[in-house]
This record gives sequence, structure tokens and C-alpha cells, in this order.
Amino acid sequence: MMCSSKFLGLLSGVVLAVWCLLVPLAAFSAAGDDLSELLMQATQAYKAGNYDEALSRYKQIAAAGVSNGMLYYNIGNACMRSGKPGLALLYYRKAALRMPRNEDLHTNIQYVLLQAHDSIDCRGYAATLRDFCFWYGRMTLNELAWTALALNALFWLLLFVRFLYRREGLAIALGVVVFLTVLFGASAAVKYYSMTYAPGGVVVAPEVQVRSGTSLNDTVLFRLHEAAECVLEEERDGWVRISLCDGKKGWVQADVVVRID
Amino acid sequence: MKLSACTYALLIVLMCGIAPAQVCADEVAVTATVDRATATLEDAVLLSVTVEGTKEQPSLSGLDDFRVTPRGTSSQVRIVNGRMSSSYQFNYLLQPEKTGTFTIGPFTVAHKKATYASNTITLTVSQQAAGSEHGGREVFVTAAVDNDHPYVHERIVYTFKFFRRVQVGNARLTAAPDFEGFVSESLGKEREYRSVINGQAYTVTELRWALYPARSGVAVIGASTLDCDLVIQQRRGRGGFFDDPFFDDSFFGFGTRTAPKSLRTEPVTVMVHQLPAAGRPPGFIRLVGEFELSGVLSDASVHAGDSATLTLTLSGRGNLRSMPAIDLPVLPDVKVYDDKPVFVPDQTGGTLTVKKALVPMKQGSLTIPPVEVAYFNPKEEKYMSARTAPFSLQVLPARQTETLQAIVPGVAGAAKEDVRVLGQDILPIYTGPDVLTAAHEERLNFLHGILLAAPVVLYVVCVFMYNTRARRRAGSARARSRSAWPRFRKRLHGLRAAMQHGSDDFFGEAGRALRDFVGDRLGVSGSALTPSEITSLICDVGVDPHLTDRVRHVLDQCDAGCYGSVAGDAASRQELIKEISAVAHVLRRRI
Repeated sequence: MMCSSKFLGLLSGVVLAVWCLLVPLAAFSAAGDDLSELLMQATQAYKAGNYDEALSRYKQIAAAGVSNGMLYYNIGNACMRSGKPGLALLYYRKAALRMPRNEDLHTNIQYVLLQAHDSIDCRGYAATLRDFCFWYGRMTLNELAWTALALNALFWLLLFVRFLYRREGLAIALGVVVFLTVLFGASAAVKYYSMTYAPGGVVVAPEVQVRSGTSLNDTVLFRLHEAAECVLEEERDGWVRISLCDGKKGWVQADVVVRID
Repeated sequence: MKLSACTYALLIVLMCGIAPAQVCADEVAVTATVDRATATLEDAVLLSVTVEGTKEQPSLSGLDDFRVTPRGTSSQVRIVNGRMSSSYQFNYLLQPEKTGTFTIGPFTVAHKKATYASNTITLTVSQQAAGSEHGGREVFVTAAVDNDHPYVHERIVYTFKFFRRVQVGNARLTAAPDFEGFVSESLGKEREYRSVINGQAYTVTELRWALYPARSGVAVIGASTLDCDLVIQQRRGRGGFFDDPFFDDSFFGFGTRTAPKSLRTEPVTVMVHQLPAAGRPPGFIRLVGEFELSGVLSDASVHAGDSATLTLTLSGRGNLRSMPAIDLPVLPDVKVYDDKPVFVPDQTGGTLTVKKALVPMKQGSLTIPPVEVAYFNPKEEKYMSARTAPFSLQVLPARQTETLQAIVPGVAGAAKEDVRVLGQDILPIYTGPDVLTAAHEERLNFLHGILLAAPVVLYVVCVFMYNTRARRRAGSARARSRSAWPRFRKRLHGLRAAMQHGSDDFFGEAGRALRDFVGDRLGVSGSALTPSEITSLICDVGVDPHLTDRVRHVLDQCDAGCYGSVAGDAASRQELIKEISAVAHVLRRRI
């Protein structure tokens, strides 16, 4: 009798453990199946020219917690086909943060910028610096950070080796590694700062009046149109202070400019 | 003349009379008044806040439903019975934003750590002045669009009109219409004309904008506000010098006053329709309206390699400004160079002129197919196309045959031609499972900080451990070296005892004693070393060759006594002990 009750207890424990293991797996699998189904529907709708439906499906996938460059790229395409160049550029820029070396993405961004109404002169010192520091735009924040961390680890390893064996060549190697560590570390820090404290934004309204202050009574300084890009500097009382790369600054209502993150 | 003491005293009292008056001025009072208790949305109410006893500006509150414009400050100083009091009046113009009954104030003034509050005022704001729609009103504004159900990108015209039948001054558009959702374009300067409404003549100022809806759906054009000052004639009492009608002329400024007015239009709602998807031609690029296309070829015949100019003119009513260019059909054996398009706007749309230089490569008769531009006609509610007639061009032989041959396509060694971009579009979507992969968020986190600091900590730990171990190892070798001599002397006593007892292993023990001594001093295991290795080691640490030979000789003696047939008598053993002791003594100082 004792053996029978012990066996039953053991059996119920095993069944419970298996149930606990299998239920989350099944849920995960079901969620994956749902997402695959949504993706298939989105693809079919896009190919059939039903871009609004495709956009809706892609946004459902994003709402389910999926976040990657390819999904944002597809959302950008659906927005572009639906006649929303501002939102398209926003999602392309979001995708570019996650896959900065994707050539298709850059082609589409160039296409949207070509269609944009506003021509903003972005040449100058900052643009030259950006061209010179080519790796900055071609690497994600994580890639920059991990490269800097790996170089940092290599630096300390080399320093220890030099501590053990004082070789002349090691000093040169140390210098090179220090330079690269500082370079990538600074790049990661600048990128983190710009993403956190001065993020980019895209105008999603057809026309936006940029004013001198946070009131509709303030002077209209200039106008921007859909798909114009800017930097979001400060948010206050439902208004955002923006700056363009040609130096123009002003305030717009917060709902017409969307942050790239 | 001498002044008496009483006169001096009187003067001093008079000169100092202001001082007690200033003390009295510290009594602070705040009073708020308005010039009317009821107003309309078009009226501007004059608010005066009078502050006595201090110059501090009042803090305005409870005016969220009004547009507030400062209208200057006035001050007044009174001396009554030797008491001086000063008051400052701060004036503001309040323009109501909505209707209702509002309680204005209290306004507060902070002075010497105390706060003084004014009275409150009740103001009733109604929709508009009693009267009809527009009839009977002296001034009013209107706003309208010519089509409130346009298609996307279809041109509509927004018209703002300012009607007035009395004299006004200082008219200004303080809040321009808000064209969010439209691409706007001003249609020139304002227009002024006369109009009769309900038998009353009005002067009308009209402003117009062309609007192009950017997306479908309901779009609302916000209210526009125009501020002005009404000039009102005042009646005066009889009998004065200025009663003559001559002085009623506003030129003199007599008999008139101004009343500020704020006129506001109603918001205009526009229902924008999406362009139909059915029947949309492939080359359609957002052109909506009614257009005509014409073309002129500059020459009927040109030599191969020379250029003829094809001028295409697209004109009509619609959003021509958004038209980037006009493309030609593909023309084999003809190079096409685009000139910069020229757009000339007019009141209804405009004219886009595009010039293209055509350079035929082959002689013969060239026919350029009709050039076509697709557009959506909102009146017909369907896509249409404007097209030209075909163009004919007679291509004569080239002026320089050699040069021409060098660029004829298909000929070996021919000059290469630039790839011409015929169209642009976005690239296709991704359909693979990678689209569903969840990627890491691009954020620096605590792990990055740990990994940044970890190598530094590891380095410090490793260096510390290495140094500790090295120190420990160095300490152990030093201790062994220090204890080598006492151990050797102990073993020397043992040797002497062995000599007296006639031990067989005397020579072996003597050799091991010297080897171990050398080994302990040098930090190596000496008992396993051969005489050659020992001499080599002590030679390496700088022992002179003479001493090295002595050590070698002693060790050879020990080995010969141990392994050889030489047993050695007591004297020779005594001699060996002395020699080992002497050699070890010298070595102790050298290594």
C-alpha cells in the first residue's frame, strides 16, 4: 500500500513536470505559427497590391513583440506603397538602426528622399565628419559597443603579456589597440548619446508649420513637409523643438513628428 | 537778510514732507476693471489692473480662455495733504477664445514677502453680436473653399474675405489659416473690391491660397483670425468750439475713438477622396487636374551627331508643380539630354516646360512616338492621358564621318554609352522567416559596463597573483640558500663521525654534502648533478676558474673513493674533509 501511494505521487510529479515543460513550448509554437500566418497574409496582401492590409498585418507582427530591421523595412515598403512617404521613411530609418549595411534599405531610403518635398542642405562640417568616420553609419550601436569591449579586453590581455615578457613589438601593438579602443568606444558613446538625447525624427504630416515657440500664436518660421528629417531636441507641453541639418530650428506640435528609435 | 530759527524749521519740515508721504505709499492695493461686462467672440475687452503702493507687475491668472495682448502701462502720483500715493495701471487686451461666462482674477501682486490679490470680474462672452448672419454687421470675415470634396492632390482654392462698411485701421491677420494636411501655395497679393449684401455696400479684401490635399480623409482647415480697430464716431455736447462738422473729419482725430475687434472665421471641413486604384496607368505620378500636352521640335532635319531640341509644354489646372519631369519613350540610336524643367504658375495651375536635346546617331528618317503624360481628371473621375502628335526628324549624314563611326553602337571598339535610368522604385519586401526574428534592442546596458570593467579587474588580479607567487618563490629560494651553510656544517660533523667509524660510504656522503650545498646555494637540486654540471653552474654565476677546478677536483676524489678501488686511509679522508670544508667556505662567499 505504501509503495503504491509513493508510486502514484512520483507519477503525478512527473506528469506535472512534463505538463509545465510542454505547455509553454506549445504556447510558443502556437504564437510562432500565428506570426508565420500573419507574415504570409501580409506578403500575399502586399503582392496583390493591397498595401493597407499588408501594413496592418505587419503592424500586428510588430505589436506581438517582433522587432527587427527586415520587418521595419517591409512596413516601410507598405507605407510607401500606401502613399505615406513620411511613415515609410520613419520605418526605413528604424530598420537602418538595426541593419545599417543593407543595400536594399539604402536604395529605398534614397528613393523616399527623392520623392520628399523639402530639399534640406545637409552638407558641411558634420557631413564631412560623418563621411570620414564611415564605420559610424555602417555599424549598429551594439556592434560598436561589442567591438570596443573586445578591443578593451585585447588591450588588457596584451598589457599583461607585456608585463610577463617585455618585448618591443608589444608596445606598438598596444598603441594600435588603444587607438582602436578609444575610436570605437567614442563612436559607441556618441551613437548612444544621439539615440537617447538627440534622436532623429521624421515629419509624418503633409505640411507642418514650424513656429518660434510653443503656441499657435507664435510666428511661423518655416514650413516642412512629409518625409522631412530633423533632430528632436526637446519636448515641452505637447510641442517638440526640432533642428534641421542646415541649422534651422523651431517648435512643432509633437504629433506631427515621430521619433526614430 | 537773516532767517530766523522758526523759518529754518519751517523749511526743513517742508523739504522733508515727502518722507512721511513715502511711508504711506507702502499700503498696497490691487484693483481690476474691464471696459465691458459682456462681449462677443469678435470683441476685445480692455482689462486694467491698477496697483497702488508698488511698481510690481500683477501676475495674471485665469485667462486661459483669452488671448492676452499687453496694452501698455500708465502711472499716477498724487499728493494730498502731504500724503503721497502712487498707482500704476497695467492694461491688457483680452480676446475671448470661446463663449461662456468667465470669472477673471483675482490677480496677485507680491510685495515685501506679502501677496495682495485683486477683486474678481465676471465676463459673459456670447457667440456674436445680435443681428443677422452678416446683415447689419459692420465688419465680418468669411472663409470657404471652392470644392469641399476633392480628390487627393486635386487643386482647391481657399478664399478668405474681410467685409467692412465702416472705417477700420490696423487690420492684420494674426492667425493665418492652418493648412495642416495640405500643400499650400499663395495666389498672389490681396484683392480689394466692392460688394453689396442685403442692400448694403461693403468693401471686401480677399486673400486666396491654392491647396493640394496630401492624403485622403477628413481634413479641417483651422480658423483664421483678423484683428482690427474699428473707428467709431463720437457725439459731443453742443456749444463747443469743435462742434463744427469740419472738425468731425477723422483727419483731425477729433470726435472719433477706436474699438479693437478680433474677427474669426469658421473652420472649413474638407472631405478628401482617395484616387481610384482601378485603371491607374503605369506611369501615373500624382498628377490630378486637367492638362494639355504639346510639343515642338526645333528642326525638321539635323546631321547625325548634331542636336535638335524637343520642347514639351504641359499646361492646365492642377498640381503641375509636383511633376518632376516628362519622360520620352525609348528611342534607339538617339541620345537624349534633359534640360532643367521650367514651371510658371498662374491662377489656376501653370505651365511646365521641359526641353530635351535629341542627338540622333544614325542617318535616316527618325520618328519619335507621341509623348504621353497620365493624369487623373477629377471632373470625369477617371484617369486620362495628355499626348502630343508624333514627331518626324530627318537625320542627314554626319558632318565628321570618322567621329561618328567611333560612337556607333555595335561596332567593335565603339565608345561606351552611359546607362540611362528609365525609372525608379523601391525594392521588394522580405518574405523569409528572418522577418519574424526578434533582434536585440539597440541599447547599452549594465552588462556592457561589467564587460568593460572585467578585463581591468582581471588584469589587476592576475598581476597581483603573479607578484605574490614570485615573491613567495623568491622567499623560498632565499631561505634555502641561507640555510645551506648550517646544513653543510651539520653534515660535515657527520662526515667526521663516519671517518672515525670507518664508514664505507664516507666518500659518497662527502660528495653529496658538497653537491647539496652547491644546489641549495643556487636553488637547484644538487644531488643529481654530475661534477661537470656543477662546475658549469658555478662557472655561470661568476666563480673563478681556480675555485672551479678545486671543486671539480674534490668531487672527482669523492667519486673515485665511492666507485673506485681507492679506499683511502684516515689521513687522506681527513685531508678530504678539510678540502671540502675550505671549498665550501669559499663558495659560500662567492655564490
